[in-house]
Amino acid sequence: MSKAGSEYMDKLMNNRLFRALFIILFPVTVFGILLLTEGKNPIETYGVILNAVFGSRYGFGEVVVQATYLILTSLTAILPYRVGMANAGGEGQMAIGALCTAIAGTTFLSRMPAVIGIPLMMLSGMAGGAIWAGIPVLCKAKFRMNETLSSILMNYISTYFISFLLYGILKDPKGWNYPQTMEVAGQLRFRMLFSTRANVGILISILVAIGCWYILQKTKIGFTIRTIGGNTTAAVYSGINVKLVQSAVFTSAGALAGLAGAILIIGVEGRMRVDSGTTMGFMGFLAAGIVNNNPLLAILSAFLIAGLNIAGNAMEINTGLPSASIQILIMLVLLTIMGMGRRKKA
Amino acid sequence: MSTIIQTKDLTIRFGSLVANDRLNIEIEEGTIHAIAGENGAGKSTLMKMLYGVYQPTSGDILVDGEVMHGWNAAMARSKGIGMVFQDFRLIPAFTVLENVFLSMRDAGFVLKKKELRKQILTLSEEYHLGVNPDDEVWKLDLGQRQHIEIIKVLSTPNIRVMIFDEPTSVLAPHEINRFLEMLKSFRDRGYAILFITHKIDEIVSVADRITVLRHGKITSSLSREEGFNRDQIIRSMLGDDVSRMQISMERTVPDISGMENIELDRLTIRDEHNREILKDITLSIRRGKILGVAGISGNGQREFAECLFGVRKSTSGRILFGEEDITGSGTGKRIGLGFRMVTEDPIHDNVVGNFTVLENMALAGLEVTTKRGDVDWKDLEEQFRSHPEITDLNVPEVHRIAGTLSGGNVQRMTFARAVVSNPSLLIACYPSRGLDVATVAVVHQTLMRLRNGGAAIILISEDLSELMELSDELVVFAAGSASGPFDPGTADVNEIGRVMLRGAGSNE
Repeated sequence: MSKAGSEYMDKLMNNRLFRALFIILFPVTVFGILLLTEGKNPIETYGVILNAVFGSRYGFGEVVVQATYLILTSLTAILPYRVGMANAGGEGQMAIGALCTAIAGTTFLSRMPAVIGIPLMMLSGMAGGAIWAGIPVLCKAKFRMNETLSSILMNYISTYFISFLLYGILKDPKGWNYPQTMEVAGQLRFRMLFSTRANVGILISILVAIGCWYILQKTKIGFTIRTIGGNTTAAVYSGINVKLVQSAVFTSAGALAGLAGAILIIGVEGRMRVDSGTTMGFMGFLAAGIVNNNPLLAILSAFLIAGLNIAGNAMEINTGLPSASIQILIMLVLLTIMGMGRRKKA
Repeated sequence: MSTIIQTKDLTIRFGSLVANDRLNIEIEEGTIHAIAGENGAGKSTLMKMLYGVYQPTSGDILVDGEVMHGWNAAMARSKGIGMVFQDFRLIPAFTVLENVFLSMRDAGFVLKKKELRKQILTLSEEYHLGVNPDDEVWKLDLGQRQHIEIIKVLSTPNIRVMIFDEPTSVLAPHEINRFLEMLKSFRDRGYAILFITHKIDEIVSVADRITVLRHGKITSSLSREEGFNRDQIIRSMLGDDVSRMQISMERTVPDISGMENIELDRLTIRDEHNREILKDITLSIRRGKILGVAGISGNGQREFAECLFGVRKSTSGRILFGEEDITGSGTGKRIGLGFRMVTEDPIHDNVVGNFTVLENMALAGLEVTTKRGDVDWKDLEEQFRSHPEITDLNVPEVHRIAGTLSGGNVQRMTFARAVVSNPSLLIACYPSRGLDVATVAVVHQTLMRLRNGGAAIILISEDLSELMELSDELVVFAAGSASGPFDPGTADVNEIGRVMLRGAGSNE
C-alpha cells in the first residue's frame, strides 16, 4: 500500500503540469498563510502584486528595466560557472561598469553624436567591468587566491571606491551637493519605449543571452569551455590551456556586468549615484542558480525575480507591509523551483 | 558442509537492463566461492544483492533454508553476512580503533576502548594482519586499509559469510599471495568466503567453487572436485567472443628512420609534498620500442608520466624531442608533437562524464575539423565510423554518454582516442588494472601494434608478467631513482622484484 502510494507520488511529481502548478501554488499558499497571520487579506495583497506588475504600463516597464540588468548579471555568474569557477562579484563589476560609463559620457564623449558616443560608452562600461573582474583573476594566477572570495571582497571595495569619487572629484558642481556625477548629455541616452522607463537595453540583454547560449552550444570555443566545465583535469590532459580560458571567460563575464552598468546609466539613470544598480549583481547570481546556469532560461528567471522585486515595492506602498516581506515570497518561489529541479534529476 | 545462503531465480533489473537474470547459487560454510566474469557481467550487483544493498526484482534469497522477506543490509548483518567493499569506507583522520568502532551499530554509548583494542589485536594476531589499533588510517597504505575492513567484518558478532568485492585489485603483487593465504585460513576456520575477481590465476589457486557470470547469467558453476582450468574459465567468461583472445602479439622491427627519440637528461621531479620523488633520471625513450616501467606504485610513476606529458614541471634536467628542448613546453605543445597519455584513472583524468563518446573522442583524439566556427561533428562521426582502430577496439556507440560506460568501455574509448592519431609517444599507465581478460588482451595488442608502427611507448605497470611480456626494455623505479634498463628477455624476475622492494642501492 505504502509502496504503491510512493510510486503514485513519484509519477505525480514527474508530471509536468503538476510540477508547474506546484511551483506556483506552493509558495503562494504558504505566503498567503503568512499574510493571514499578519492580519492582511491575502487575496487583496496578491491583487496588489499582480496589479503592480501587469496593471500598468509603468509597472511592467519597471519589470523590463530590472530584467535587463538581471539577464546580464546572471550571465556574469553563468559563464564562469561553465569553466568551473564562481564569480560572486557581479555587483561590483556592474557598479564599476556604470561608473566608467558615466565618466566617459560626461567627459571625453560628452559632445559625440549618439551613434559613436553610445557604443563607446557601452565599451567603457564593459572595460570597467572586465577590469574589476580581472583583479580576482590576476590574484588567482599570481597568488593562488580563491576567485570567489576575492570577487566578493571586490564588491565592498567598489562601493567605497565609488563613494570616495562621488563625494570627491566626480561630484556634480551643480548637483546641490548630492554625491552624484554630472548628467550624461541628452543625445547619449536611450529613448524610453511606450512611455515607460524600458528601453532598447532589454533587446541587447536578450541578444547577449542568446549569443552566450549559441557560443556555448554551437561553437568550437564553446566546446572547449564545456570541456573545462565538464572535467578540468580532462581538459588539461587534452591540451587545453585551462587557466587562460578560465581567465578570459571570467573577465568577459565581468564585461557583461559592466554592460549592465552601462545600460543602467545610458538607459535610466543618466548619472552615477551611490546606490545605482544595487542588489542587481547579487540577484543575478540567484537568477543563474535557479535555472542551473542555463543562459536561455536565465532570461525567464531574470523576469521572474524582477517581477517579484517590483511587486515588493508596490506592496509596501499599498498594504503597509515592509517591502522586505516580499523577500519571503521571493525565497519561497526560488526554493520551490530549486527543490523541484532536483526532483527532476533523481 | 551446510548451505548458508541459497538463491532461487534471483533477478534484478535496472530499467531495461537485466543485471542479474534468474541466478541460482549456494554459499556453503568452509568454502571459497569465486565469482568471475567480464566487466559489467553483473558480479558486483549480485554481491550487493546478497548483502542487502539492492533488493531483488524477483526471486528469493534463502538463509538457512528460510525465505527472507524485505531483505536489507541490517538483516544480512544479523544473519552473519559481512562485506568488504572495493572502495573502503574508512575515515582517514580517525584511528583504526575508532573506525572499527564506527562500524559497530550496537556498540553502546560509551567507547569500550580497552575491550575493542584487545579484540582487534587478537584478530590481527590470529590472521597475521599486522594492524595497530592506534594508527591513524591516513598513514596506512591500501593493503593495510583492507586489513582494517576485514577486521571490521570479522568483529561483527556471529559472522559466517564474508563477501569480498575485487579484493586483490588494490594490492601490490607481493601482497596478493599473502591475501590468498589469508582467505584459505578463513575457510579453514569454517567461514564461507565469496569473492569477485578478474584474475583467473587467483581463482584457480584458491577457489573451492567457481561460478562464472556472463551478461547477468550463470554460464558455469564448478567445484574443485568437478575440476576446472584456466582455459575453460576464460571460455565461459567470454562465450562466443572467445575468438577475441586469439590476437597477434608479433614483434616486428619498425622503420623508424627520421623519427625523433625522446631523451631525458638528469630529470628531477618533485611530488605534491615538494619531495624529490625522482632524482637525476637519464633515459632514452626510443621509437619502435616499449619501455616498461616497473615498481611498487607511489615510487614516482605518476609524477614521471605527468612530467613527460607536460602536466607537471620538472625541478631540473631536460627533456629532448629529437634535437628540440621541450622541457618548458606545456601539454598543448606536446600533444602537437604527437604525445598521448592514458592515465591511471581515465574516468577521473581523461573523460568528460556528461559528454558523449564522440565528444570525448574529440579531445586530443580524432582530428577536429571545423565548420562555421563549430566543431564539424558530422565529419568526426564519419572518422569515428571509418577508423580501423576504433572498430578493432570495439569502442561503444558514439552517442552514449561517457559517464554511463563501464570501466572496460572507458578504457577502450580512451585507448582508441590515444591511438587514432598515430602518436609519437604513448604513455600508458596501468592499462590493464581492473580490466577483464578480453579487454586486457585488446589493450596489449594495441600497444604492440603501435610499437610496430614506430611509436615510442612507456608502459607503467605493477604487473611484472605484463611488463616482461610486452617490454623491449625495462626500468625499475624505486627509492627515487630508475634502475636498469634491463632486458626482459634475459632478466631474472626475482632480481627485478628485489630491486622493486629495495631500490637502486641494491643493484649498484
